[in-house]
Amino acid sequence: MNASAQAPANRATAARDVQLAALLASAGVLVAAAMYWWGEIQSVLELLEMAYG
Amino acid sequence: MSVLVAYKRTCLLLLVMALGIAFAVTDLRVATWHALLPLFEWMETTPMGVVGKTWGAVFALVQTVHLLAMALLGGAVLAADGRLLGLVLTDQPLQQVQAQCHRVWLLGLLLVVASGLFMACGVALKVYYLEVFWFKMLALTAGVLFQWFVRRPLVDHYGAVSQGSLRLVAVASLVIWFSVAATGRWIGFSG
Amino acid sequence: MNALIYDFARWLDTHAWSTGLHESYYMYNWIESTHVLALMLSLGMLFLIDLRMLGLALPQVPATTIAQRLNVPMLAGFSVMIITGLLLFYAIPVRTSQSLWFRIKVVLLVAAALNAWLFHRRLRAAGGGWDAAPRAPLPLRVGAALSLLFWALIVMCGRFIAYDWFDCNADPAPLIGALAGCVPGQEQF
Repeated sequence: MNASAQAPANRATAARDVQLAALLASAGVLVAAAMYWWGEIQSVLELLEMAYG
Repeated sequence: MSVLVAYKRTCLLLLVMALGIAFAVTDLRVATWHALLPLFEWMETTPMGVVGKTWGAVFALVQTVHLLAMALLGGAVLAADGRLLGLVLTDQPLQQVQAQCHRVWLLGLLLVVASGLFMACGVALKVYYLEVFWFKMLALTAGVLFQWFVRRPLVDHYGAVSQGSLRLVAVASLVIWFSVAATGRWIGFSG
Repeated sequence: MNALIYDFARWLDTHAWSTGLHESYYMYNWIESTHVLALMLSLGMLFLIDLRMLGLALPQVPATTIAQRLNVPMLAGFSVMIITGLLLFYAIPVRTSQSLWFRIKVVLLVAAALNAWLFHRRLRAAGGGWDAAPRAPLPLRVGAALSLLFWALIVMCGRFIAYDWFDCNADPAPLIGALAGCVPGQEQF
């Protein structure tokens, strides 16, 4: 395969790699944020429960 | 092996995520926290720490700079992510909007970190014992890494990547920066 | 005038909702956080518009396009600011109405609103011939710079309200006391 034919193929592979990494990273961020904020909300609700029953 | 080469960015990401989880669940996290105590004790003795502790007005002025820089950084994030989500500036070239917002973002980040460092010196031992402070630092680090190593490479490949991935990245970016700001506000309410 | 404001604030203070809001740790902090975080939407968009006019941000996007498109999210942000701001005032009416910083902030808000009105008049009058240029015509640049200055000061005053340097019960100098609206013989808050 000569260089000119290889370049677009490499670029397509790089795009697939970048996209997969982006999907995984975003999913990781969303899961971590959901866990953190869920925990925060639960602890506030528990405090309110203790204070007001 | 060829998969590793073709997907080296994805592999690297998985490695970083695995290391992060390992750090969070092992004793290493607590050990690091203990090791950082001298640093935070020292921060309070620096000129910035002394000024921040004794001059309430200077501290309040730096807080103002911190808030204005947050508005700048947040504005850049909202405009750039809004463009990815197809909400604002939809008729302007996507990559151009991203590149120009990135420069505003960078300026905002610089100011936020500089003013934040000053504030942290003034209340170093307070924030050292605050869980929410460490979550904020975690979110901030994640946000900067995400911007550089996830968001920008993806935008560079605009045209070859799916709309869905651009949108998901925009949502994740919004969630990160909201979390950074919200946990930061909570530092003020704590302790 | 100061007595009138004081009486009005005292009256607001008698409301059960005002006391409830003030004493509710989470509700008050939640409103306060929303007020602060909405800065990113309101001032964030405003900064982009102003910096574009000055040629410091997004130079390749036409200036009027920025001004028109970012206007909507900016106004949405300002609506949130106004609603949460009024609620914050309602929660602590007496102390806030007698805060020197709050009073300066209100004056600056009026100035910023006038400046914004002038800016939009000039924007319409300027036509679109300069749209692609990195910097807007001088009158618009002046308006943008003033807008940045006013809002920076407004944020500063807002932040300073939280500090009690000039509170009426801290025995401020007579002039500051008068400007803050302290009423002789009033109850201390």
